[in-house]
Amino acid sequence: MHIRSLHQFKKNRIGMTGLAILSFLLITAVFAPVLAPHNPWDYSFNCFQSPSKEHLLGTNDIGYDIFSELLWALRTSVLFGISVAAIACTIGILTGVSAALVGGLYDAIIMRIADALLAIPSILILILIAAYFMPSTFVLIITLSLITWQTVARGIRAQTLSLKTKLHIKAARNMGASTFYIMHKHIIPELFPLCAIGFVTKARIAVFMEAGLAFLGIFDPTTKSLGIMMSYAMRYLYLDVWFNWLFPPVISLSMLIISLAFIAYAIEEIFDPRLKVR
Amino acid sequence: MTGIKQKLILSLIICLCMFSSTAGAVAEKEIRISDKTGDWGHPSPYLAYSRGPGYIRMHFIFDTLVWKNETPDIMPLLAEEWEYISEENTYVFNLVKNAKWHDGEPVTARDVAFTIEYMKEHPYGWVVLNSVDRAEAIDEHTVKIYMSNPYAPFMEDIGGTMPILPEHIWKDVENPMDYVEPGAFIGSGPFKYIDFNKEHGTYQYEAFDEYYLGKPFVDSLIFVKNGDTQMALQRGEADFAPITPEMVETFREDGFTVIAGPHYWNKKLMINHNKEPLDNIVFRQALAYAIDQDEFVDKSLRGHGKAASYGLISSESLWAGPDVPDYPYDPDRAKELITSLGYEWKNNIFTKNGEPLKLDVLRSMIGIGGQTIPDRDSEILKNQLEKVGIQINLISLEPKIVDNKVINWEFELAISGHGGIGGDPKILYDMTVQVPETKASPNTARYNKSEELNRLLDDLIHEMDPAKRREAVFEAQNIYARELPAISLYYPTGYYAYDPDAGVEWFYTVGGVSKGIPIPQNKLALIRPNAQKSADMEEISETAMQTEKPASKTPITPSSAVFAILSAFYIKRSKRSGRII
Repeated sequence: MHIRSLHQFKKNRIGMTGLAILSFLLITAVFAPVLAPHNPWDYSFNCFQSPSKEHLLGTNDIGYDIFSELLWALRTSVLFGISVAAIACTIGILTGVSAALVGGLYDAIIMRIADALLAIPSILILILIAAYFMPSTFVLIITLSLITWQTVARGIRAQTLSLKTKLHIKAARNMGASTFYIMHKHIIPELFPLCAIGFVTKARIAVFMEAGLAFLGIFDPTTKSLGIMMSYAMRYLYLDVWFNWLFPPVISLSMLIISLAFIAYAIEEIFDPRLKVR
Repeated sequence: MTGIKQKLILSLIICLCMFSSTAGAVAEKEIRISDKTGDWGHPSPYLAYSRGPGYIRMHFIFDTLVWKNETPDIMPLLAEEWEYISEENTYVFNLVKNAKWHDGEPVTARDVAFTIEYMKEHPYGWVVLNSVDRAEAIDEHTVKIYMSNPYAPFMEDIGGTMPILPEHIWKDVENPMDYVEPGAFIGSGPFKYIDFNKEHGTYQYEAFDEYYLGKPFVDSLIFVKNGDTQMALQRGEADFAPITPEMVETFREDGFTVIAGPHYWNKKLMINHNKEPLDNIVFRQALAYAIDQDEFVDKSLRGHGKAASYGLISSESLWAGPDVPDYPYDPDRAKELITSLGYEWKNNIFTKNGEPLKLDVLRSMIGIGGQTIPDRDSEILKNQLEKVGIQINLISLEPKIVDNKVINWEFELAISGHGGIGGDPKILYDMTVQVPETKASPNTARYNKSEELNRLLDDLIHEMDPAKRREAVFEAQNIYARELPAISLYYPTGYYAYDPDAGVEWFYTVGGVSKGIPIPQNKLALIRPNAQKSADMEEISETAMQTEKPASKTPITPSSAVFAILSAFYIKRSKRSGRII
């Protein structure tokens, strides 16, 4: 089943486009320290230089090399996105599956917590926490994960509930398999598409939120971030720096978000028969 | 008969048209000042936010006894003459006879005496009246102020800063901080309060017809909030706004007048000197050696500024000390000093008892004249201090929150800034010690650990002999620079641009407005203070009339044309139908 899906994904043009863009951005982000021509924290260059061989995108108001800054900023975004997605999905899958399998009071409590979190806009909580407690990036990642796992959990729980009644699961249970065994041998593998979609969606939200918070100036100003780059570039727009300073982070962020959206769309199309055109 | 009537009507119509077009030419004259922050509190003495722009917004409505302009001398405002009687230690002020409050009541000596009593009872952040004993209205227009101690900065600090309040309104106000009734905005200044919108950050004032120096030649004064003040100027949405150094040439080419400010504003590193290790003078000196002021000027200001004097008083002030201790950039010396305090250099970081030397820095985007500016100082500071082994954790906050945290001592280092360092040297006193019974200012170091500094600051306030006072001011700067209750980093050069066609010639006040606010928005620019100036102004306002924006004429002229055509059509029709009008 999984091999067939992979094959299908390969044939899906939108999915492959997304994957291609994402791989390119991921490679850039991972190898940023090698690819960046200068130290992005080195402000010894002259300010406001136009793009040149030495500085591919020129320099900014304080004298940072914009190209190096962009690569490092992309790294922050990708790291933030992947970390939040991984943590939020792990929490979501564990709570979702266990709630469905255990049921009863435990299920009720978990799902009510999820409902409550669903009702609170996460960006507001994040802005409040970031503005008042000034936490480190690591704490922000954890916080964002803790307030975004609920959608994954709900989807997973619903799917697990329907899987639970399937014959092979019942058979396994009758043969004496433990809940944990059923969870990791049967249920989680079958939940793969749902998890994949959840992961990509969470990553997309996290990338966007990181840029947004940084743009608002809530982040540590010495972190390299696409949002911080944009917010500074916006302040010097009167100097015609948009093409070498504002545009690159905007394009990178858009590309990152679009590629994730494409991938999520493709996975959904493959696994949800209702969306199938062919 | 009909012919005569028709001619009469036609000439009437022509007259009407001519009248309406002249009405277009004397359309209301409006000046719009733009800034980025917008909200600086209600424009009433007790409610305005206690930074320069807050006072500026208030000073258009409330007059003081004396004032300053572009010359160093103090000039009359509500008081036309004054005298200091040293034997009695009193000041006698003779008020102008024709001054009125905006509600029509006359301004009298009793109002001045009342203001002093009221502000003694309800302290007002900008004025400290500890050295004033009492005030007495001798007659309708003469007030005598009895000092309890000699107070050298009196004229500038109280006479030129204390807004005079109307007794008939304020005598019933128990808690001035809660008083937001319309009465709170009745002053005797050149402009009347019309509206303030906190959310939009807009202020609207109207010229006061009965102002004793003559009605301002601007009918309406408006403060607007613009995210991009330069864009607002270029689009014609504002007549006067701060601009960035890079745009000076562009604005000059576009026909704007650009004025560069004096260096009366300093970016200052506030230090929590109650907390270890910042409570140690040697450590603070090490910080000063580790800080490269020139790098701030080169990078953060891109050269548009000047390294600051460590003695707080601006190096451009008439009061700047000749040999204030200096801390040339020397990271090795900084490391030596820190080592002498028992710290160990390990992996590029200083440690003591296994704990790394770590400091939090609050950063805010405060710039000259209270504007919000992109902040790069914190990054530069972090880089410089980390070079000498001090770990820095940067925390970004709103300027107002930084102010609050500093007031509550909830900080270690904070990047802040203030003006006033070009006026009377009393600023050195104000920014060093906490004056008893006054609201704590976010810019005051509240440092009283040096007996000698306290004594000199005392002399600075009470010494009435100018030469001796000067000596005390110089020596106080030396000690301030040695003990470093706070570290001045640099003076940015501020630029403002205005449209000369609007008819106002804005200027920077010598020593700053009132106590030294380095904002070129002096109300005198909008009225006619003397014959010479008024002749100039007339010329300017005439040209302004001629170059009045066509937009203000258009709604009236076309309507009169339409009216004329319609009337002609009506006459023609009535003629044809044979009706007699």
